[in-house]
Amino acid sequence: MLNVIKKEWNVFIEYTKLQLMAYLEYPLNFLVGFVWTCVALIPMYFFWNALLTSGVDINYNQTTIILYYLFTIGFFYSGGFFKSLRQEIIKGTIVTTLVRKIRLENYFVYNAIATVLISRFLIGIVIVIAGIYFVGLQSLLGVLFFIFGLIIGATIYSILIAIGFWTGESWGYFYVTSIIINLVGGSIIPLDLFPIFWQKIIAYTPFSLMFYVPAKIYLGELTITPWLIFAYVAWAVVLYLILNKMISLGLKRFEQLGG
Amino acid sequence: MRFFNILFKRFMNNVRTQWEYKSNIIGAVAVELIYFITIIAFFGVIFQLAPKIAGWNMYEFLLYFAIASISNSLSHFLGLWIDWDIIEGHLINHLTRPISEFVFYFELNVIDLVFLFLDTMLAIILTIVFIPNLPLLNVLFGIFLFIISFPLIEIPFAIVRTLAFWHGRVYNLIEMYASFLYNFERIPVAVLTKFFMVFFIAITPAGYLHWYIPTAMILGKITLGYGLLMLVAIIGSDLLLLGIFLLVYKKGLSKYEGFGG
Repeated sequence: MLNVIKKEWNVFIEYTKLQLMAYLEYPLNFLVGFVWTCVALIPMYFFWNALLTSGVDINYNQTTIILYYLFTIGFFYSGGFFKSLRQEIIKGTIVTTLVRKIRLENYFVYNAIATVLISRFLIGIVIVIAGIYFVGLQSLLGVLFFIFGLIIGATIYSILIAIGFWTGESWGYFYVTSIIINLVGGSIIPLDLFPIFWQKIIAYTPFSLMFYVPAKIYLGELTITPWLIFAYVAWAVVLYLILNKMISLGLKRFEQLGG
Repeated sequence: MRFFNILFKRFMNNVRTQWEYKSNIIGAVAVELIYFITIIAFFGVIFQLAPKIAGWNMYEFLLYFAIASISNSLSHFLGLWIDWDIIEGHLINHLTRPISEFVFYFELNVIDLVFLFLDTMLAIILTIVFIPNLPLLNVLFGIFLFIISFPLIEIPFAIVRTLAFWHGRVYNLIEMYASFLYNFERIPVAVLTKFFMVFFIAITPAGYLHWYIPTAMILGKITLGYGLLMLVAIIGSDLLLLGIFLLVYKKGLSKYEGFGG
């Protein structure tokens, strides 16, 4: 078992290195992600500041709301991040991966995780420093749970990539899913501000585990329970099994020239 | 006249191509409608907490968003995609033809027109159903200000794209500029403090003069006198940006070697 984990870890590291090399070809990419987050915080800060100074009573103050958005906007990733992976099926270049000794589902998930980790690295440093300064060392747990949530997110997007075996071009539902995740994942608005009815529904989806739950842990407002850890593990396993099934079915109809 | 004839033919060509992939058009409609729903959900949740923010209610915020979205869709439709032709080396082919190379910079994608239609419908529904009794003069003057200030959003993009003559790929620079601008797509500059408003206008006058002023005029939040003053500012900014663009473009063209920037 340990050997399998070690082997998979080494494969993941190799893909991370490759993604890093590709990313370093355009170092400005690091700056873009960083600038994008900083700039996005300006209107959000003033918007929430105007709301909070109007006497509204919510669980957030100016500091916690800006930390919340620093975390959720800074770490946010959408379907656009995985465009090149998506196109591998459409263009048929996925065939080069099929001849290697790696499971296709792992190839998608590892690459998706590596892409996000590398692109969010610079802003991640700012998030960590701000968390330690304003909240304390426990904010690091939020970052750790973001990585757990990233495994779920990467698997969800890998499932969407796999749909390409049937649909070919697939930008539409990629964007739709990104927009929905943006809303119900808690990136646009903290989920605890939603009406209770919607909060309960969203709590049964894996999306809140991607951004909202880690952000609340980062702010020190959520206690980590065994049930929470179970939810992460259970969703990761269920989604991976779905991905696995879809890949095996998709490969049966794959014709190298695209799905 | 020939210029517009060719533009029309290129547009019809795009219509025929997109018609072959009808799922793209259906996808565009679905994406836009779901995006609207998320924005309405966002403001719906926020305005449950407070009836007004910075003096604007929910429907006024939504109208601002709709107007900014119309502008974005129009900008995509009429955008000058100069950098692509420079990087790929296509510009040399365009320059040898007996017509201005600008005719080839327009992409004129019909899908952007689909977005434009949906954005316009949102704005119309908001103004007719949810914000009725707006003064007609204000609405007409606001629309006029919106149209005349359109170059303010497009020309800065064109200037950044023209930098491809020197830097090759400028996608990241475009992304940075776009991210700055589009973060104000949902939130009018009225929420900013004076310092940040000046900073924002200095970086990009479009968010203020092209999105905020026309919306505020339609909603009657600024006087006609201030609107006239802004009209002068808009015309001045249009001419200034156009001058800068032509200067940068001519400089770039003079060093173009036909193999890319």
